Amino acid sequence: MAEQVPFGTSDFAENPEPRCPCVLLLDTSVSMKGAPLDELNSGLAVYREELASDSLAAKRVEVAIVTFGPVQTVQDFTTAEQFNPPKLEPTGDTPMGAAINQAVDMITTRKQTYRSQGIAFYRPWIFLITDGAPTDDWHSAAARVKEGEQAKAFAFFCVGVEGANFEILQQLTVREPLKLKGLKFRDLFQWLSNSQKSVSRSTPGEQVPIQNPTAPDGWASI
Amino acid sequence: MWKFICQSVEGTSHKKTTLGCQDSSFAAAHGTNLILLVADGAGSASLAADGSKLAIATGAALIKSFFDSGKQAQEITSDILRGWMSGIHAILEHEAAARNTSSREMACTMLIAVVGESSAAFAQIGDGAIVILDEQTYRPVFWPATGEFHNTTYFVTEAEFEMNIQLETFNRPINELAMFSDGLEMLALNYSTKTAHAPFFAQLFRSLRAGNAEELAEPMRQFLDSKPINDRTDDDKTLILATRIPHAETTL
Repeated sequence: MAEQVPFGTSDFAENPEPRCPCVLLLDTSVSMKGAPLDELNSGLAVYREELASDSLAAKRVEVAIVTFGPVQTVQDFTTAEQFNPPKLEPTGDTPMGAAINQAVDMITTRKQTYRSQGIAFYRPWIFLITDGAPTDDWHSAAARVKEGEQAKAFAFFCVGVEGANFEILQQLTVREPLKLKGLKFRDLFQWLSNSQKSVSRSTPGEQVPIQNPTAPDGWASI
Repeated sequence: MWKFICQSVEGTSHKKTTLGCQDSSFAAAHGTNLILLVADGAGSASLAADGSKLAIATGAALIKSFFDSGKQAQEITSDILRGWMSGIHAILEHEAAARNTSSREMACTMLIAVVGESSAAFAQIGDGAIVILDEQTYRPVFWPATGEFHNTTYFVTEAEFEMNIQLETFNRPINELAMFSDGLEMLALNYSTKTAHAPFFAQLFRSLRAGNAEELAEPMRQFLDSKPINDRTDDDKTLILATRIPHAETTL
């Protein structure tokens, strides 16, 4: 009689990885031309490297990129391990309101897709980076951000580069907008990937450890 | 009569910190009745391990006193199940107050199963699952409750806990069941169809039926801490397996 090792091997369920969707809303207006966009592109490469090198984050974080203006989806949701950041070039003006609305719509649709396929997900991120002020009507976008944050539908972060209109940014967001120190995009994206790596492995009731970006050696100032 | 094994193993992510295992579990027979309990402490709660232990001890005491008072398993109603959850909630609140802290620090999920000769009663707050063999199919009694996001769930310590109690009672015999915390969910359940992954359970129960419960405790422990499992989850893992011993085997 063959001795079967009790609980020796087991047939496990194959489930899709839970996802952490993130929309990067990036200002590619003319004023970002030159050093700012170079550093932003460099930051995106860091982001990709960091996420791809983490076995859980690579499969769980999904990145989409919307640039403005005009508002363009240059990257639809793709898992980090398959994400290849497009090289961003300077474009036009700054229709921030429209861009935000698009991001919120994309998140809503993505969640519906997850639900219909039985894919679990973490709270989505919308991450806006801008060096200016909206050139379109942003009030409806601000209302949607507020609504979304209140319903805990997503987490909306805003980073202003030197020259950004913080007065307006403060009205657009619920969380305090952060000011990028110089052009520390690489540090910013390092922070973002670390935060999302933590989320990718977090369990219920756990406080996800996120480093304070405004700490002395951080990438943001208040 | 019942044959059962109950093991809680610390997750690999917890081993990297001083957290320790925050899952607690309990399995016991009371006459021909079977009592199974699992509580999974909330990751950030500073007293999560204590909270889950206290929740289990309280649940066990409440259920034991139900039977000691002469009542039968088939008399367990939804109201009685709710009462047990309320009792656990109250004790955790009381203990937290005695320690000068909020019951949030003792937050945990709570799973209860009480199986009699011809009836069964189940209650659950939060994630994890109770899988039963019902009409030859393994199925979860409730789907793990997570709220909208994968890393959120409900706890018995919350003010609105009563709204989150899932309940079910059966008037027929349930002869085989498993109970586990969320660490094993992705391996044991199929998310797209909201069903139990039958081969996983079939294999485990084959081992249980063929072996001796005491001798199987260590192999089960090793299984829970094995590479194939740890590759798929770094969370604490609790698994209880129970099978009713057919009459012929229990008579001399």
